[in-house]
Amino acid sequence: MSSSEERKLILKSSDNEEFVVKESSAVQCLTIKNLVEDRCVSDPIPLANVDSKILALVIEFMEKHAETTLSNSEKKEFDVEFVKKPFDDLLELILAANYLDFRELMDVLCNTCAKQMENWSVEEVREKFNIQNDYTVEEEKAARAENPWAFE
Amino acid sequence: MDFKNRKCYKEEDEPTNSLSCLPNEIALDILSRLPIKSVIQSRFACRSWNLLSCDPLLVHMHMSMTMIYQRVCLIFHSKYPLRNQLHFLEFLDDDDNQIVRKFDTPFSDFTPEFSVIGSVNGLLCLIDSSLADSIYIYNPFTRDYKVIPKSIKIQDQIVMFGFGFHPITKEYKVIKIVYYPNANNLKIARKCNGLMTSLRSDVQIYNLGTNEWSSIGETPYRLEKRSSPGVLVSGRLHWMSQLAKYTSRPGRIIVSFDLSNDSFREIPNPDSGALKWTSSHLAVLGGFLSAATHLGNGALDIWVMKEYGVPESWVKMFTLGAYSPRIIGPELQNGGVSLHNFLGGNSVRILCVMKTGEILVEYKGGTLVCYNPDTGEFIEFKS
Repeated sequence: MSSSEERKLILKSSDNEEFVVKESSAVQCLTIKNLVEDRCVSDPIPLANVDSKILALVIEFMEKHAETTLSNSEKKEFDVEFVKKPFDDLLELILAANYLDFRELMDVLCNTCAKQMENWSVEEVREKFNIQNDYTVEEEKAARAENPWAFE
Repeated sequence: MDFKNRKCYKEEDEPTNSLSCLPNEIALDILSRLPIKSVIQSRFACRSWNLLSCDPLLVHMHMSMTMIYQRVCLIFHSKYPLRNQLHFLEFLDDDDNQIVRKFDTPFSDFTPEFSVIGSVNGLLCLIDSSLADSIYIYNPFTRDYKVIPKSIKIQDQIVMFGFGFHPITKEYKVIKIVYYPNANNLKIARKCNGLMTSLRSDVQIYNLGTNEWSSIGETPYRLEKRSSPGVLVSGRLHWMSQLAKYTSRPGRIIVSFDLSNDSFREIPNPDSGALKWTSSHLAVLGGFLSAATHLGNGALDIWVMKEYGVPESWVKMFTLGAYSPRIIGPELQNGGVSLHNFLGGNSVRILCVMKTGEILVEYKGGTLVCYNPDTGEFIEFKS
């Protein structure tokens, strides 16, 4: 076994919880990979934008996908179960994956959000994303009239 | 992303627009994965999302996703009862019930009928069918359109069109190849319909970036009118040449026009020239230049040029068997005559390849059929 496989990193969440991970798994996150390559690794690595609940989930995904013994279909099965979470958690995970620059996780999460959004009405989209409707009633009517086919 | 932004999402007593916590690039990432209908709907969530949905970066990302997930989106131009209706259909991953949706053009008031010259990157190029001859470049989803300045019109002209985009120069161009009789040959030309040898030609190019027409003068190629509009592959437009009677060559050749340097080239025929493309039409299948030769009875041989420009890379991928659609297309249903210009008066043409590898085929009268090359099965779309 080469030493890099055994090298571990400590990641610290915003609420000061520490997680030990294999360096080989952690470098799937480009943010971490860059730190390692630039030899700027402090011990532990503070992740100010990710709390412990979300970081634990990210690490779960990270380690699953780093396992070379798993086939692609097994990883896909894991992904399907992994995304069965409340929408708010998915949004938080997206923010974390974006901050950590973890492309694979981003893809899975964004695909899931998009898939769910397909079936939502505009009102549901606003509710789930916590968006304020800043259209006036007239503006909204006029805009819908232009694209009636989108609402069939 | 700083701590302040993160915090605003969690606090429920503070009613903030969540968009400030979801950075634009993430919202764009999610929107780019949505089918088009949902992208349009998302515009109505709030004003910021309306702006986002028109962001050019979204177009770019959406198209990348379409390439990755091989989603097919078709726009139909219906010619019956009027040549002015556009319909849109997107084939989603697991949805068996695709709905064709009709949408209007913002210029339908003053352009009652039009033909489609081409479509690239989601932009449509349309020409007014009446004598007005206005050409529009239209974005069906933002409803923006541009009227192209008029080009020179010559009496008794025969016009071929093409609309394309070159990925390296990143220019959109409309190509207009005009054949017209010499003043001297006017009488002769009118007698021999389509006899092009005595005709003069003029190749006119419109560049969307400069908003100007220019001409590169004559071309030795006599192109088959019915192969207009040209087919776009790798930044080049393609048409079929006319038949041997009208040119010095046997059969037809495929002629390409490179949008980066405005030059014509010939695409060599397969079988070291043995195949003459006598009764064929062009298409793009999976991004490759393809040609379908008619075998009679609606059967087709499908050839694909696997490596662009390499004659040895022409492969006869499969043969589409003869097939009579059970469902009569709307045009025939209503007693109208099909206005499609199929080469050689044939009644079938290939449109595109689907994610599943099936081929979308159109039959005379407008019936759409999905052909599975592995099983030989035909599945019709109900209109």
